[in-house]
Amino acid sequence: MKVKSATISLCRKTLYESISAETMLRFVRLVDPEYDLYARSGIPENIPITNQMAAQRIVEDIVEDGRFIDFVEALVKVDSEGYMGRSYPIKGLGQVVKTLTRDGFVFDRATGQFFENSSERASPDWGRLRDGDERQVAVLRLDVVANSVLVKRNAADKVEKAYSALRSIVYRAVVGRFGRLWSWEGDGALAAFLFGQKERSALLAGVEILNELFFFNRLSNPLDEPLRVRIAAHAGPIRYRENVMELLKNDTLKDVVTIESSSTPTDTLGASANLFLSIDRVMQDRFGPERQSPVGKIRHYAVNLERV
Amino acid sequence: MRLVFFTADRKASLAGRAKSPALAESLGVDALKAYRPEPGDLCYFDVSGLDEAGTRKAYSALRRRCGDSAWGVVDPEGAVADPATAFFAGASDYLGPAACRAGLDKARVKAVLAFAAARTSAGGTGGASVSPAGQRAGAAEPGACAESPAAFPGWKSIRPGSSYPFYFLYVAVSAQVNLRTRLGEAGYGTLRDRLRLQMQQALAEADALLWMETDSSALYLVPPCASNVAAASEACLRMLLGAPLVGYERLGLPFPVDFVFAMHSGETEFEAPGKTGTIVSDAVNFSFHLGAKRAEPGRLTVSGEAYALASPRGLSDLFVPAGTYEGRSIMNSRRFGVSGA
Repeated sequence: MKVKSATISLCRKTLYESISAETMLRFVRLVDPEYDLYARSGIPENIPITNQMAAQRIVEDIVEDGRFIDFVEALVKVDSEGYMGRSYPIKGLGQVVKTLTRDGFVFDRATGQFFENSSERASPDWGRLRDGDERQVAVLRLDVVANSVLVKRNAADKVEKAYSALRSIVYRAVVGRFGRLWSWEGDGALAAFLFGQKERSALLAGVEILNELFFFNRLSNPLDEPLRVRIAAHAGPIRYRENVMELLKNDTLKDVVTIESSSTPTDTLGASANLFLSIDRVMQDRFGPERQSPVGKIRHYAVNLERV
Repeated sequence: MRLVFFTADRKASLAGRAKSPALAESLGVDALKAYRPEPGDLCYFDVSGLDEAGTRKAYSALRRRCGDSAWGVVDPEGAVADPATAFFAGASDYLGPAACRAGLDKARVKAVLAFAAARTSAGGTGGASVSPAGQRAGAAEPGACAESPAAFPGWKSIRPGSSYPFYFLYVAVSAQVNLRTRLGEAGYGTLRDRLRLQMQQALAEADALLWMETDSSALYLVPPCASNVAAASEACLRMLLGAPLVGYERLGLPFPVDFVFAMHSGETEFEAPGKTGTIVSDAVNFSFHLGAKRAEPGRLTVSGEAYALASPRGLSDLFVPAGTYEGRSIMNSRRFGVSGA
């Protein structure tokens, strides 16, 4: 993530005007426990560091490490809740938050996190993740059933039109819930959810895609046959990689592909038990009974019409 | 205007119990071969005694003979299994057993002719079609009904105190628990605000107007144009399918809810929202009765009058006959039962 120099200098000023160098060091260790100010600045430990110097060094390092947003989030938390039972009002922090908002981020007060403003930009790393970061993520895998047959049977322009409609259905369902599309191959998509209630978001996105396709197939599908999909939702640890091929080597992603391909019927969403416990009863009741699959227990959702 | 009734039973009549019956000329079914309608004519065909194939043949003969002029089907015994097939074949009216007993009156004839004119212009004659008032369809004001701008001039040009044809959409939310008790007064107020916003977004394409609102329900006016009515119907069906998502994400409810939708068409005097206290209208009464007393949670209930436009191609199989209510035939949308595959 690129941080503007005006934002950097504002943050620096905010720090040295509100807290001491020692306190700054304590707060920066909330996001980087190994941070050593003396080692990073090259100043011997027997020489005191002024507040201004400490602020300059810390902000520079934290930007370089790609943890600037995490650091501001930590400062916001300290400012509102205090730290170790003591309050630390940080003068001018509101202005830093405002500057980040102008730079394309949205601050969610409920979770205390900054999100990339999806209406301006939707980068795969949310503007936050760095190569190698390990996080708990909820993932959604979608596959178009019998894609090659569909391509053979229908004119190319019709296939392109149908796939473009599918892409916008998926994009709306995923990005509208703070998710990101990590890959879109010819016949399928992989989406991830990192922030907020990520498990719930992944499940609801899958449900919405199936619901939308129900109407798309009836009202605006240009193909001579319905566009049918299988969707799987799963959650687990992921080591983020900018290279998609490297990213796909994560076990959680391998598992979601297995759930989709081997345990999910056509026009159905298969949700793993990892996700399921974290959603409310209102949604749980919409899914079928638990079934065993090669990667654990799963439950299914499908659009079923009342029989006449 | 000429009104002709083709029937094998020469004693049959379309008058029924109507107080001001439309006068029809009765002819044998063979006379259809020689029928040459003028614009504005209307004919009805009695399908009693015909099997499914015979009925289909009769539909294609009527379509051939009548061209753009209006025609309807008379089915006093309720022998036609799916009345919608008549509309798909080009009919503008269907008189089932109840409607036959009630009789064909002048108001219905007027409505049938307006519907046929609307459908003709929607079918592609476009700017060449001329509305009953002699205005070209292409000269309609923005927001006016493209099919019949004279019947509905658009919300900006509508005159309070005048009567217009409308489609009425009744909307309510239902839950297993008493919503007001469960949410409290403030929570219930918030729910109503959110539901109003959700409905307005969902019905944006239908250009619907929130006309009346009670404590537990709302009545929207939809312009009587095929595209608007189809959009309103589609929006309702989408909300029924997505009820768990809407209830959970948009309305913020921690328990399941269902929506109740009912649609009817008819004519009523128009007054601006909030000034509707003096309106006396059979169509408005029926819409409220249909929604509050007959419609079921999880379904869109549509009266026979509204059915033709409310069941667009691709969604018509979602509706099934649900008998009659207050003398009118009604159709119910099938429930979206969601369960594991």
